[in-house]
Amino acid sequence: MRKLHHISQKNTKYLVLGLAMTSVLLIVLSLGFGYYRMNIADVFHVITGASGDPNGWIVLGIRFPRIIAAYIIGAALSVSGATYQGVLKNPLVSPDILGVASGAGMGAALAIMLGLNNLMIQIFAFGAGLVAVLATYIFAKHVKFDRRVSLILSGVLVGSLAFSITTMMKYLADTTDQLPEITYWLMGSLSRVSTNSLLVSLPFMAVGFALLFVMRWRINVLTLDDIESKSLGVNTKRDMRIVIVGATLACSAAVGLGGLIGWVGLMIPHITRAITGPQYTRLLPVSAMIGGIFLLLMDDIVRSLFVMEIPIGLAVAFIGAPFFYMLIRRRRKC
Amino acid sequence: MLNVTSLCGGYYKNIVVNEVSLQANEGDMIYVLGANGCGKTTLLNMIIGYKKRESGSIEFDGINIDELSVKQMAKLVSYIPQQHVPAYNYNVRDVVVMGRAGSLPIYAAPKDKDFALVNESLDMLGIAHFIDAQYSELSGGERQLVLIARALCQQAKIIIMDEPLQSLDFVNQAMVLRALKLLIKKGYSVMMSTHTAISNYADTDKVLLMSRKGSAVFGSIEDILTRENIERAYGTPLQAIFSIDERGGKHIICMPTNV
Repeated sequence: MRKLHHISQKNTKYLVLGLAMTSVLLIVLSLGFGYYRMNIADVFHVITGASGDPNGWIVLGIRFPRIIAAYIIGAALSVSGATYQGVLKNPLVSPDILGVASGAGMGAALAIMLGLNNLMIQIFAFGAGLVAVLATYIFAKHVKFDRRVSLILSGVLVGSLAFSITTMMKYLADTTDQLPEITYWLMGSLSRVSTNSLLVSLPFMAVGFALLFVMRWRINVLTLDDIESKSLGVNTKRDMRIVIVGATLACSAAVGLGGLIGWVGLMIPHITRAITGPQYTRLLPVSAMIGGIFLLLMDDIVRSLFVMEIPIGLAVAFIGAPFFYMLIRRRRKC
Repeated sequence: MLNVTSLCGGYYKNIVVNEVSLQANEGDMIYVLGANGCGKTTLLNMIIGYKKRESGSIEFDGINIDELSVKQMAKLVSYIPQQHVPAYNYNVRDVVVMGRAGSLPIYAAPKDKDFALVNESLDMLGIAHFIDAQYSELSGGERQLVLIARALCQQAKIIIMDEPLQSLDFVNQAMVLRALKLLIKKGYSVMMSTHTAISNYADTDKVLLMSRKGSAVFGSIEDILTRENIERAYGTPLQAIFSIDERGGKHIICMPTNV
């Protein structure tokens, strides 16, 4: 086992500052990527109104919501993954462990089958994600294992159920339009993000982030056994619930906005933990920013590199699988 | 400080703690002895409020445990679990500061005054130099000391420990016992379950000897650890060997007589 040295408290401040600056820089640069290329100077000219080119403003208007969406989805998936990994005491857990993503997929498939518009698909997905986690909680009450094990088992059950229902809908779907749309949604893509869809998801993400921010230090105590955290004066049942609600809101809103994007919630917390250590007051903000930067970068690549856009969920999975292999090869304690 | 009267409890039909009574005052060291599975852990879990009792009363400073909230309990009694491997690799500072959880509101992260308490606790136990070390890289005894430091941050006067010397070598055992003796001198009350020998006990130290049927006898070490009591409790021929070292320190160890 290699000796790990996490960065110190002082250096964390510099890291956070550095990541914040990188984020802003990347967002501005990303506004210039795409079919209609602009360099950073052009972007500034358009924003400040100094450019006489009306196209620039339109292009920025189209790109801006998507770029913001990429960043906050990356951030939301990272913090919810980090949070689930903490409260469930398992670094191999992804945000779908309690069924959020599978449930959201089912909701989206249903909305597509009913022929609803994009906004309704997003709302159905978001709602179904929440319902899935609620179902997980209800089932977990009847499972007589340790609290965390019960949640994980129930989450697997609910996720599996949702997946089966989704598959059934794909089977029954019209192969000319419904099936491709469901399949495409399940691969995760930011191409349908509009200002409206972004605005709809923002309040829920904000509440989710706010809850996690409030609990950022408590999560550490929730990584202890129940008997320990209770003896330290923590209302474990209530605090776990608050934290899971926060993570689920953020994650469900993210999936509703961008479809199923896997691996981010698993990988980014891992990478971050190796840098900052497991302390959540550092882990959460840093993983949020690394996640945001990562997904924004991926989206830039996906929409600029090829003529035909690859769904971002696929692109991330191609990176995720080799990364996971590297992780388990190293066997380092995080 | 702690008053337990006729405590009963167990699992489903199995009553493992049967009419157990004990008292702990300032400066008391109580050893909880008994065979494996005789209910020591159950007893401790009930005293800290983690497990519900069937009947009997538990009072902290005269207040019934049922009337105390989780936060109030944390300020009265602290609990140190057996050795375990934590899920994540926290450093010592972050482990010890978790002891402040009961005193902080839900939305707060520890501040300077909390970290000052952390430093104080580590200093008291002589492990201040470990503050930036990774908890999982410390020895068993050092880890127990860190957990004791965490318990001290709760500012609770009663410390309950479940087999703290389990799987520790002599050096580490001595480390932990010295720390506990220091706390006793400062007025803390320590209750620990143990299998090992009792080293350097004071006349004020007490023992709670539990038998397989869940009943227990409580009193001073020399009163309780008689041959009949021990044999009855463990259900096997046993003797207690007392010894006095050259500095007058008294020790006791139980040994089976039929090996």
